[in-house]
Amino acid sequence: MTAAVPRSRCFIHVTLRDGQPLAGARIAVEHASGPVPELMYQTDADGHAQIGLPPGKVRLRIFTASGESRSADIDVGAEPDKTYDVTIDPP
Amino acid sequence: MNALPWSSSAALPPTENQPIAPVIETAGSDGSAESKGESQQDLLVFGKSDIKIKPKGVRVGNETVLGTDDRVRITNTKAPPWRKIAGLKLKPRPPQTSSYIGTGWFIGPKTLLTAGHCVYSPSDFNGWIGSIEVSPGQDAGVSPFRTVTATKFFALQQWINSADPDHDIGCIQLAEPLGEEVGYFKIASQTDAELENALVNISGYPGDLDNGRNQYFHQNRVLRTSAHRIYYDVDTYGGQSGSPVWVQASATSEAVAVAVHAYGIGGTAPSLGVTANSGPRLTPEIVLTVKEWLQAASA
Repeated sequence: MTAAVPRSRCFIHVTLRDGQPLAGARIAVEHASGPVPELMYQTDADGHAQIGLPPGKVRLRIFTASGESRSADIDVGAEPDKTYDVTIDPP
Repeated sequence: MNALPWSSSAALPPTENQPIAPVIETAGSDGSAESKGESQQDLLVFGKSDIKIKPKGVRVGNETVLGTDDRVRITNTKAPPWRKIAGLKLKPRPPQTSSYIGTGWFIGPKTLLTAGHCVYSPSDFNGWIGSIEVSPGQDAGVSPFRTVTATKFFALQQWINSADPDHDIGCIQLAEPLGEEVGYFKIASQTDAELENALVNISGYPGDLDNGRNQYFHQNRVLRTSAHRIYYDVDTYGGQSGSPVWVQASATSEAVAVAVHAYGIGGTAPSLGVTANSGPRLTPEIVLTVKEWLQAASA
């Protein structure tokens, strides 16, 4: 079996370059150090999403309402409940 | 457990040298709703193949679309089997306000199967999900039947206890028998021999296409099996967690779901030597548990 790598509770905050939160964005986990479910995560009105992620380098793909996407890399540490700010270029 | 417990699509004895367990199954139905128009059943694959359906192309850059993206949109989701598959909108309990997209499928009048992580995930939504909007046959973001909200869920105990991907299976219970209209899949525990080189069908709601509003289908071959997982080179993406993985012996035979799609290639151990997506397998023990869930819904 594939080992169950513990996933920490992570908070992702997505904003555009001008500082506006990206509401209703869809986030997929493209790469991680362990298995991550094939859910699609959606940000709330303030651009926040909660994702369980294994420690290590993680590549997210963020889809806007227009269907365009941007990738973003974060480095997930062992500490739980950390907020990761992700800033993307407008589509 | 052995160091390398994997069986493969090359002929091997029963998984992990265990004796062949009896096949356990449930009944399926195409539902009572009228079906009009092109059924798109020509997309389905049947039986087995020892060669890939299509040559593998170049990776297109995301994690789980393998090679070229061969997914096909299902346009007539009013027809079976597509209407048995539902788009899921997962809504956590307050104060959490973010949400999730997944897929589920009917296995009984009031019961759907999905991935365990669609109903229970401490790291994603702090435990049990608050509610799930279930939209069978969702197309352009709307169910041609109706959307119902579920608040009662089950998951395999191994998933709850240890988040074991091999047991990542959950259940959604509805208050009304919507499955009588849209139909439901038969499920069965199949042996390694039955799954060897089996062609499998997967349909669900990927969030990278059309904002997750439409159903997409792809099909290909089983590459490996293990005692608790099936690995296949079928294109999927985030949002398709919980999709049915089904086989069909022929165009006239009944569809039989054999696994629940849950993971992209990141869920496949490198030691397997394949690039594959995967889902937990419906073993005899799990089908027996699912039967208990079905009985709970009918009680």
